[in-house]
Amino acid sequence: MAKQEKEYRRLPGRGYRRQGSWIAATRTISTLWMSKDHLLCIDSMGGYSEDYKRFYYRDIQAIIVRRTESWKIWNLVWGTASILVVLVSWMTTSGVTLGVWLCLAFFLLALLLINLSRGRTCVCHIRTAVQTEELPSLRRLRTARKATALLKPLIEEAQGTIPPEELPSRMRELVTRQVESEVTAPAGISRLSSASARRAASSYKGAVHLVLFGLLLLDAAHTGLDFFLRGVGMAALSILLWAGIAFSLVMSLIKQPGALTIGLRRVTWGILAYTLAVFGVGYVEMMVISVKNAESRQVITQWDMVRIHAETSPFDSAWMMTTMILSLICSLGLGLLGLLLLRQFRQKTADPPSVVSAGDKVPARQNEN
Amino acid sequence: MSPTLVTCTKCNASLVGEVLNTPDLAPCPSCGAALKVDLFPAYFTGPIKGRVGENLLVEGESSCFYHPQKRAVVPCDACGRFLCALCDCELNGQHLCPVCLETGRKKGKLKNLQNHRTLYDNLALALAIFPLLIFYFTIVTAPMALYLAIRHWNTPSSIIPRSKMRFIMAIAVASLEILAWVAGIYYLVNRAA
Repeated sequence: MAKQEKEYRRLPGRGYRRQGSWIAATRTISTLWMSKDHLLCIDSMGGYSEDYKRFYYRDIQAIIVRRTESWKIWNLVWGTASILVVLVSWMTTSGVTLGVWLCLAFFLLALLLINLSRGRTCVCHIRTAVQTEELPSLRRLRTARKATALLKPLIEEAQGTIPPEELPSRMRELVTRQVESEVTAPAGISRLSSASARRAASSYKGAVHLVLFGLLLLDAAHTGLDFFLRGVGMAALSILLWAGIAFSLVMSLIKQPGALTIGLRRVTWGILAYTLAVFGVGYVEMMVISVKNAESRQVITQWDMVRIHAETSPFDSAWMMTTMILSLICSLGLGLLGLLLLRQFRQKTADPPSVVSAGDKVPARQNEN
Repeated sequence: MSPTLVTCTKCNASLVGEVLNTPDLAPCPSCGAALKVDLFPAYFTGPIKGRVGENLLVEGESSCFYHPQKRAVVPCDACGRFLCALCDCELNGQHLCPVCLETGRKKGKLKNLQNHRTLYDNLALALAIFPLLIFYFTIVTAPMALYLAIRHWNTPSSIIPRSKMRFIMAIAVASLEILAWVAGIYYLVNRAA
């Protein structure tokens, strides 16, 4: 008896589809399956229900694979963490503690090796006439290459192929058609690029970002004054300022996706890195104070640590002088840059969009920053 | 309507020539991200235009069941009603009217129109196995698992065909749990007597 042919064949790769914003906890596992006339994307939620999306081969216009840097970042994270843990275990003398540290080091090394062996990361999108969908199961370059190699013959069987020599002429024709259709759009209706349209649709004009950049400039002023006016009051003001910066930073990161220019978004991410560095340095300074004053038993509470820190002059400590100068430069630089970019963004959104004229060149970049 | 240009998924810049259909990754001219864009002929044709029903021209000509003023072009493969080009929905080589299409979708007969399924076999198995960690819960969950397995024995599971093994295991484990409870209660009653 002939073996019954399977309706669906699994494509390599599986991945998590993030739903909601980047802080969302809910995740679904996504896999891809090939059928004779369509590609099926299955999103499985906890294994108890499945959502299906079908992409018919005759409708697929493009498959776009973009290499990302997540692989390098995770290698760095796991590598650094394992080195740190190995160093800590090196200094440990107790047998049980050493065992725990070594187990942790092996675990981190295993994660590093797994990440290394899985290869470079990527993001894969599939495009049809009406949608561009991400394929979360293809997050590794090797897997994406395998999957596209399996899919391409099926798509070409359904649609035919584009001879390489015809591609430039077809592209020219397409660009001409697009320019013509933009020119013939009804008067008063301009065609915005998808990014501009998204931005225009968003009502967010950067108010929280304005507060964030303003607070950074205030912090720069405060740090400048702090060189000469040391005291508990200044320390308390600094704590308040950084609480405000942290809060407005979180709010800005929540508000900004799809609403602002790439430049502004990058500055905000830069501020996040700067804030983490400030908090890290502050933590180390407090630990040093607590260790230094452990014997004199001066340090009892957090408040005592703040008091001692506030009473130390930057002119007596090279470390404090360096961190304060760096903090002043970063706060001033990021605050001013942010305000400048925000001003440009607001001017751009305030101007009425212009209709593309026949003489205009097709923009090489739709999402101008 | 002309199709929009394919764009870089990082910076949204339009990709025109040098990065398309390359054998390996090529840098985006705008942001430098390494891209591999495989274009297919559908990109140049754009979306297919919808058909328009033709008006009746001759007296006595067959007309559409839903649009009496439009000319019938094909009968519905499910109900046999005459359909105009506007009402003809082609799916898997079949010509269906909108009503049959909707009915088929609701009843789950048209597999290609389904976009969600609940996996009752996994649910029943989870209900039978996970509460074993704290056995007392099984007094409630074992009958639930048994009910789910029997009630949804014929309900379609995942769209990827699979066996009834999960249902069988759920029934077996849940039955054993119920038996264990019955035996335990019987033992306690006998000992008390």
